Amino acid sequence: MNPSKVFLASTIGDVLVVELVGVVSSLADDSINRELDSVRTRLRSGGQAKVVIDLGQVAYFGSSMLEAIRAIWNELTPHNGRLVLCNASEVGREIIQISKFDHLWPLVESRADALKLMQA
Amino acid sequence: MPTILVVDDSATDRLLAGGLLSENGDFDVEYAVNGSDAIVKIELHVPDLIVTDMDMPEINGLELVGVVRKAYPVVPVVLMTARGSEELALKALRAGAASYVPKRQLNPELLETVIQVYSAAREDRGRIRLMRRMSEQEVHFTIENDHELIASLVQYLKDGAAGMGICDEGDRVRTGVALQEALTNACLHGNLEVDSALREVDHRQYYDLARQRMTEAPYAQRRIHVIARYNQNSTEFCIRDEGPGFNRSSLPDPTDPTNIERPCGRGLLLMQTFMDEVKYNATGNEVTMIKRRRVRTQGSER
Repeated sequence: MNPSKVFLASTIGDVLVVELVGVVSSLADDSINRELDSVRTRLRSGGQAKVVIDLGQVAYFGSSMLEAIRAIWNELTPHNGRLVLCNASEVGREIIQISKFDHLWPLVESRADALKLMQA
Repeated sequence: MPTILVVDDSATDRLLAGGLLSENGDFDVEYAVNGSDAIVKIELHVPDLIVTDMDMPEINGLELVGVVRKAYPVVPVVLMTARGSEELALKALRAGAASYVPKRQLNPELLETVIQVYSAAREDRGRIRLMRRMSEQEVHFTIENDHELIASLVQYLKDGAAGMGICDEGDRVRTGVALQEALTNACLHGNLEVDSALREVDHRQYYDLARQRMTEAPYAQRRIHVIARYNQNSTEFCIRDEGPGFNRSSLPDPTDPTNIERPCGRGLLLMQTFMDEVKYNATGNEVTMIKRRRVRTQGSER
């Protein structure tokens, strides 16, 4: 199995934590798309409805990354799922706010805060 | 002799770190008892390198890294990390700290790390000083519809703007985001003519079509042309594709709450937000983005 270039997924309780470990320059990169598909499949098969996206390892991202997160979100909406973003850099936070995605998903400081919010 | 500022609110650790550097290395060592004291000391005499504890009252190591990166971007910061401060240290590294040494391994790792970081910073400083004396530069690229080339070009172009001192670290990143969006648009929407509407149905179908067209005529033969003009006051990036062009007004407003979940137009929004000026030619296959120099901050010219 190839190591994850971008999406590193792990389970904490009933929450799937997806850590972004690389920059998504374009979803036209098939290996990145395959990784994204693997996260989506995991959500579908595991029936998980809570996802934390940890942005701590990426200094910035663009619309391709937002699109990838939106694709993950699309897996959750049929199950009334929840998605929380955490650990964004200053520029990352700006990008999320400019795109208004903070209206759609809560953006919190740390992973611990995100997990706490999921349990609330 | 290069000067190192050691910042730690623990007198024992401060003296241990300073002793390791002054006794075994060719450095003058100065001390600050916390982050606030460090800022005062740096204003009085800018050191060649800063070694700082992470966990301090008032201004912690992460905040100090932020201040130094903004006001003294050529001064590297090495972190001393204790158990439990790993997450903070990771943030500080992301914010621009040069390296870190666990406190329990100060001897011998601190001296070795400081020597490495200082040597690298000295080379960088020479290059930065030279680049800031460049009065004008124009570079031209013609590239295929290749995302790896696009990523490398983004890196090259944003580093050029930062190297000439036109933008600070934050704006270097913002410029990179805008360039990535503009080049991706030129590739996918311009040359490969993949319609965003398809992405609304299924993003996989959209990218599969893009990959297919990368090998098909006439799309595959089209190129992206980029001209970057750097001068002392601004950087201008002109990006042109060989597609038929597009009508921007046909895109939905991504900031309209009803469009938040739609994938269209977000890249253009980021370009407009992060650059000082964005304009298009009449056909819609060429975008020109301008980033102007910010007011220079103290210490950035060292």
